[in-house]
Amino acid sequence: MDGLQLRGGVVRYGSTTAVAGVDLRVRRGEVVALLGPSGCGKSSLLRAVAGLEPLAAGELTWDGADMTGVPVHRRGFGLMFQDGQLFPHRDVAGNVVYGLQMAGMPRAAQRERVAELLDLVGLADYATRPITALSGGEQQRVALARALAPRPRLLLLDEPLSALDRALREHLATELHDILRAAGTTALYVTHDHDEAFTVADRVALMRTGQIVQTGTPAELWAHPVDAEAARFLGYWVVQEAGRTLAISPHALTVAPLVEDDGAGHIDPDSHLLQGTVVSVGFARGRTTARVAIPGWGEQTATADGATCLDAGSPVRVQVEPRGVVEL
Amino acid sequence: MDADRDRLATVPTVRTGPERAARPPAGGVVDVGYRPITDVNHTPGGQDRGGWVGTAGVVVAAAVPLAFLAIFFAYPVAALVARGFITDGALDLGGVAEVFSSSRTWRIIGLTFAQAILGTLGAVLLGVPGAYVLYCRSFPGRTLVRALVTVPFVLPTVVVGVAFRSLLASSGPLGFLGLDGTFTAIVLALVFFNYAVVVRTVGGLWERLDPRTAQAARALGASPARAFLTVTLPALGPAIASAASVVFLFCATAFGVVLVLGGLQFGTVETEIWIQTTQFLNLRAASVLSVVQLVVVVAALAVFSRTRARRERALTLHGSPARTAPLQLTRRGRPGSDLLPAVVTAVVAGVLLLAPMLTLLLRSLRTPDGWGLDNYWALGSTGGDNALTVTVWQAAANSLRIAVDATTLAVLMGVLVALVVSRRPRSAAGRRAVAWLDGAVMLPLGVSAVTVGFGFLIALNHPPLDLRSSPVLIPIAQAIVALPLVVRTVLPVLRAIDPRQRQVAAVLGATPLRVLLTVDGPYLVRSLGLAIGFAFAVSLGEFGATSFLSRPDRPTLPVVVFRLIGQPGALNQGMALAAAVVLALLTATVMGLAERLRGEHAGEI
Repeated sequence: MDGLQLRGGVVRYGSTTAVAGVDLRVRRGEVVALLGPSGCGKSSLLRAVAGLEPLAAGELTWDGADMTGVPVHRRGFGLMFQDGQLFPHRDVAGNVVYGLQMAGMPRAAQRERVAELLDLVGLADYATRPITALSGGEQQRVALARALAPRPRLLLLDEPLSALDRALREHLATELHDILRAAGTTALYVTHDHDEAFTVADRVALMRTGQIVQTGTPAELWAHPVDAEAARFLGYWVVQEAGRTLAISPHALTVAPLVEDDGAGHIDPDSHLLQGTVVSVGFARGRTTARVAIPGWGEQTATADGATCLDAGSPVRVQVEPRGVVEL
Repeated sequence: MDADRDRLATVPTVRTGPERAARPPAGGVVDVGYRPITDVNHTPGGQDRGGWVGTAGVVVAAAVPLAFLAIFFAYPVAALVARGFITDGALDLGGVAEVFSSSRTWRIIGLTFAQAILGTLGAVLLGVPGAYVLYCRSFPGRTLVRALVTVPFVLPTVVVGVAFRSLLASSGPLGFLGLDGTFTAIVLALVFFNYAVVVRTVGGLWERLDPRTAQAARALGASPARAFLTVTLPALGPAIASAASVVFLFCATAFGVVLVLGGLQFGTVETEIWIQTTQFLNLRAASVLSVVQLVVVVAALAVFSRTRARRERALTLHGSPARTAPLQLTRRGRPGSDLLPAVVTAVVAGVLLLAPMLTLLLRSLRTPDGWGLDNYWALGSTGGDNALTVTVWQAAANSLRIAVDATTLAVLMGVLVALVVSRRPRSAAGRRAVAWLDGAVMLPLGVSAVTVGFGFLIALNHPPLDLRSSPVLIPIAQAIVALPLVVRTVLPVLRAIDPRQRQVAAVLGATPLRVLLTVDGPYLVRSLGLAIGFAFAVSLGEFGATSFLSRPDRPTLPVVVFRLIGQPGALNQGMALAAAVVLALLTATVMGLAERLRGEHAGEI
């Protein structure tokens, strides 16, 4: 059994159970994301793996060896927090070198390793800067370099990008993916953002109310959400249609002005055409969008054809892209 | 400096209990310095919108307290310096030479530093574990222990002196230690006073330190002890340094407690000023010593402000210390990491803090023939052999009357100053003037109450200002002592008002005066309760200045207590204990009420 293995993990705070019996595997060299809404217990699970919270029940092993009673600093697991938690009284290099000092690495090797890591995270010239002089994104890079420096056998990342703005988050998620692969790191990555999870991880474990409800590669999860709630969490629009539950992906709907004589009924199984009414019109990411009300389904946002001119209240034809629909 | 006022000054720096919810925002980078966070925005009411009428109002509001300070603070201090250094209009260093050639002076200066250093060390070494146990760990009864730790704060120095004497006297419960009248007793009493300063200053920061920073160190391979030394301690360092410098200042200027416990054998520069004045009638030597004390205090304040500047380093704090871990005395059958601090704190709370207070209370109920309230009944008399000129109850009435006058004066002046200093005038000159006023009213905080009392004694007893027999002399002296405290309580509340509220009011057509009444007014009223309570408690327990100015026919309660313990006879000693209990209850009640009146924006000093 190589890598991390958790069986029946339970974490309790007083009378509340944050993690209710979770099985989780992270193989060596693999990046696994724990994805779930806030309060689902994913951070508690991560803290239990780190050794910061005791496991009320369950078994935690690394390469088959029991880790339950091993204190935090002897587990050899790295940890990176949402807000970095850099040491304010040390400069950039002083932060990165901390774990190497704890490991008793010779000074020359320490310097080399720090330079190597600052290079890896793209902050080669920042060694002597004070922490307060860094932007949020730079601080997170330093935190990542610090966590990677002692070559942890497992890196635990707790929402490392959540404190950043969207553009930076998307950029750093891609970068994080590359850095973790370049360093050959085994990692457990906690996030509530499905785009981030799908970008960074090899496998994603979907967590809800203290339990893991589904595990798979990003493609598997996207192709077959386990239930309606999972589908909704991943960004699908879930509707009931003729006794079936359909999950419709965000970009599967397009609207066009209704042509009187095309005879579109409520739904045409062949042409995937529906009739709806425009509620409001918006604009997002260079495209006109329309909020449409579809009888029996409710309201959803759809992309409008660039040329069309839509008004609130006008009836429209809604086209459903078949590949964007999953039957649950 | 009389330690009463200064200990009170630190009370509001850290808040306890559920009201802590109103702390700085979560996860933010928070200024942890003593000075309130000031806005940089300009507010109307200065020079922009109100025109010259508003400006004139501000100038008048500033002129009244400035004139008050000039007459009753600057003039006495100047008179004091003149008395020590000038004879017949010419500079004369004879007094200085006389004082410094005396071995007694050097012994006193040495003792002042020795007891201040030892008192500071004791308070810090015991206070840091206390801060951890009382602020970072939860256990049943924590609120009670925190309250117990706070009580020494509000006890007048004379009461503490009497309490320690009753504990350590040969007939007292700890009499077998033979500590009565020793240097150790003084240091223990100083630690008793200042333990809470360290616990509250350090604990208040510690509980808001994000524990994940230390956890990050643990995950990087640091053992719990190593994580504490390399991460937590450096983060606490500025708070510890700041608390230590405050404690050092308090210890170096201790007066009442040293006078009661040290007798004639041990003293500080403060007590020496008193002894030179009242026993040896050597006013020139006392003046020179006052100047020495000024230098010591100003030097300590300079160090204090430097550490304060260092404290203003950005730390990762979280707003609400929501989940403090329970105290873990054992871990898997072996002693846990919390055991040592828990034991230290239990011993400090039980022996150092609780024992003197309990002994004082119990022994006040002790009569030659068993237990009873005889000592309290005797408070209606003038003591054995007519030790006093008035009854203790009359002295208590004097104290209350004087406290009312002193509080009125201090609050009036303090509010005027706070209103002016909270303005942010647009012109650079105006801002400089405001900063200057802010500093000027804080000066008395840095000068000892003994110096104020002594300055009054030599400056205000002859024309042009002969107030020697005036009943306003003591209230004015106490108001000078309490003024900085009132300003420091009210000012942060006014500064916390979002300047945009005033701007909105002005845009809606309010004149500067209406802005003041409708925007500042409600906040001001809320902070006033606390300011009044502080000023009142300070005045009740004030001993440093009052001991110089009190007239035999109108003594205050602390003066009476001090007089009684100096008199022979079991009745007088018993009355001293009972009077000390009454004084302690009065101040504790006033402070308790004041704490309850504390508004949402607690003033910090």
